[in-house]
Amino acid sequence: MNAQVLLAATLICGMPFAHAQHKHVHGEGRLDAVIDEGSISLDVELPLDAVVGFERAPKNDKQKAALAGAEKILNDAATLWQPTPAAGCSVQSVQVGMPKFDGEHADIDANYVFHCADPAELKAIETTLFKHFKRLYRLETQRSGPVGQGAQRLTPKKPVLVW
Amino acid sequence: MTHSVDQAIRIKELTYRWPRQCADCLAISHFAVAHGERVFLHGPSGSGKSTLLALLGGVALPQTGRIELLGQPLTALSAHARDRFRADHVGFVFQQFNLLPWLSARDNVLLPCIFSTRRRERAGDPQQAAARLLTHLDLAPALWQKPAAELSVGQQQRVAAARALIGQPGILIADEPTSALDAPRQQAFIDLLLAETAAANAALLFVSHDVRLAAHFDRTVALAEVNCAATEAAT
Amino acid sequence: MRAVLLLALKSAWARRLTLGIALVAIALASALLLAVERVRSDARASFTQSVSGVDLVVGARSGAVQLMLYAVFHSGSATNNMRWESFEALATHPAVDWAVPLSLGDGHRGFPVLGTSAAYFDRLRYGDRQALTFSAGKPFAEVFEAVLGSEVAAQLGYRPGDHITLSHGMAELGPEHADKPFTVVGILAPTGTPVDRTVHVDLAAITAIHLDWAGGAPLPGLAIPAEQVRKFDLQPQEITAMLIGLKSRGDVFRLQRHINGYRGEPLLAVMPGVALDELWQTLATVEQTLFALSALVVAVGLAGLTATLLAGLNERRRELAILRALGAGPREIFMMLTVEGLLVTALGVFLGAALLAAGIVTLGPLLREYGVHLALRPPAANEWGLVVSILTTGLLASLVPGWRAWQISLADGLTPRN
Repeated sequence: MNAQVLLAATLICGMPFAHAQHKHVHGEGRLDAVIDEGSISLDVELPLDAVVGFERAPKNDKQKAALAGAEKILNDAATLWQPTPAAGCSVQSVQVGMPKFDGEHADIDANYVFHCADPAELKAIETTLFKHFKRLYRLETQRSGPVGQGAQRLTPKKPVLVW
Repeated sequence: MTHSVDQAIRIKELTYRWPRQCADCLAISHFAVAHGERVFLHGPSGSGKSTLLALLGGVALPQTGRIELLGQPLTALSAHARDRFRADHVGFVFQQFNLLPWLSARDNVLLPCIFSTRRRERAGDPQQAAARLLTHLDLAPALWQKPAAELSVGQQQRVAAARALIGQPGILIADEPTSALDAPRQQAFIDLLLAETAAANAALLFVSHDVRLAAHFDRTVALAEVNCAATEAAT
Repeated sequence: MRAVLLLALKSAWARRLTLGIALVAIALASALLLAVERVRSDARASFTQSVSGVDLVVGARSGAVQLMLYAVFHSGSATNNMRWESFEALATHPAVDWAVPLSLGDGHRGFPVLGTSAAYFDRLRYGDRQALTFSAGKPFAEVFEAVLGSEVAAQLGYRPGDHITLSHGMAELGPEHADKPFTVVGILAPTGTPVDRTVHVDLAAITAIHLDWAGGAPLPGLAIPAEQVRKFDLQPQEITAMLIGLKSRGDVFRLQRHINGYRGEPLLAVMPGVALDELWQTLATVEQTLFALSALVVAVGLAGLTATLLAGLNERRRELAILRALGAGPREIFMMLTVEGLLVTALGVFLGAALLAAGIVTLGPLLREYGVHLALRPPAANEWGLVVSILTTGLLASLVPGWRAWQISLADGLTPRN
């Protein structure tokens, strides 16, 4: 019976191939998280629209300022990501790739690496992305970590990645 | 008049009115039953009999006046304490359906010992006390283990009497206990009851509408005479 | 107090028929609710257990869940094949620790046959990263040797040394590869995963039994005896899928992107744990609906209990008056009624759990075919949570008749009004 349910679900939702295919949904970001032996690597892809409210090249000073403000927030890894305090994690590297405005849709890609002193204590990572970017309403997360792989949908109400 | 401690039941200047009724349904200026005394209270239905029983049982409290059982003013006790007092000191026999039908005759007799430590202790060995009472009340041992529902009405009333008597409560109150019995059995039952209350040295208040039963009692009182409320309503 | 409770028990026993009906309703409802929860959590656990050591499942491009279900659970519809060259290229990728090919499509008496390499037995992990172990025999070393999952061996009564023939396709009566029998050389210990229901053979054997076949049927006039197959190149052209384990967990997303953009052919790399979670996400609504419905059934059962107790109360007015005359307070009366309801609820939940256990014993094997292993085990924390909430609701449902009895005993005093 269960397999039939599974199959039905498969057929209904179709599950279009490959999560890693770059599909662009407004207000929806993606997060790939690897938790491995004391290090956390977070790959984030955010639609520009969800971050600053537009997705073309900035037209005026106000939009330029918004873009610069967003970049500043995105570079503040310690504020954006809060791993379990007991794990003693600290920021190791931050890379924020602001869009080049060449295609139809503009995305921001960012990578954050943390190092944790006590990886056994690491149980969750909370993000403040939703507080900073109100137009972002969903972060589809894939995770590979000590207890295996998993997918989780982070939202403003549930901004914590747990495993 | 004797001192109140010597009285089993003593009522003074009592009035009672059921909730949401404008007239008193019971007003007794004085009524008393002495220790070991056996009183026939003549009370046809509507004379305030149920109310008096509720007051004596302590499940209702008078608006004014005193009601003392064995020297203890009931009005001074909490509801819980009145329940305890009733369990300890008063045995009741009702008109019929006195028994829990799903318990055996013997277990029905033993019920007061569940609710009252005092009566359990006074009964000595409760099982033996129950056996003795049932034997005295003329119930064949073969019937003791039967569920109460399978006994005849007369047998049930005798089991009820045994239950009221176990653990020697100071007061026995019987409310029309014979009305479901035929005439010959009525007299036999009353004889048994009188003998057993005498043996237990308990006061007996026997309430009935049937005056013919009054002959064997120490004293007969008509409720209509002591109840001023009824008198007033009647006149 | 104990004696009063005993009295309540005796009184309840006297009304065992009506209470029994309420009890059965609660038992069935509890069993349903517990079963929904058990199947939900055990399905998740057994699916997750099956993929614990695999970082990526790779196959021809199709649906992620479809690929994973077919490759790992051998259920659902078959996917296209991927080329052997792609397997070789990916297996030697620097990030890849191990790679195992999977070739599906044949069966043996309803059990799927998996063509793979001997590395499968070393590399595959299940449950809490446990390795496969043999309860008898050893891995296959020759072309026509087979290793059976525990359930295959148990159900069909095979031992090492027995001979089996494979059939083409999963149908029990599909055309047989009767000319090329296999020798059972090993039987795996139970894992609680689809491995238990799989017949494992060497990948080369899959090629070998199809040498003289074309389009799903033997080629007329061409029969290659089993002894001769070794003269042929038994390297497959295509396989169904492959499992990949990585040297470092951190490479998973990078390699996944690499495979999804693979130049040789359109491939799909699935992180099995992610695909399962996504599947659960889409199934969450169905689960919640089922759960809500069964919770509602429990509520109906408990409402039935309240109704039964309330209805019985009118007939028990005399009983209550007798207890009052004996010295029982309204509190004790209230307690007797409440305890009675709570007791029926507790018995009902207990009976429901027993029913669930009986159901697992009788129906569990059926679900195994779909990769769901229901274990006979004491309730887990979440099930205790359900039990406690049923009991709490039962208590609330019993407070109603308790409160009513309190009222009646206060109003009636020593003389019941009818």
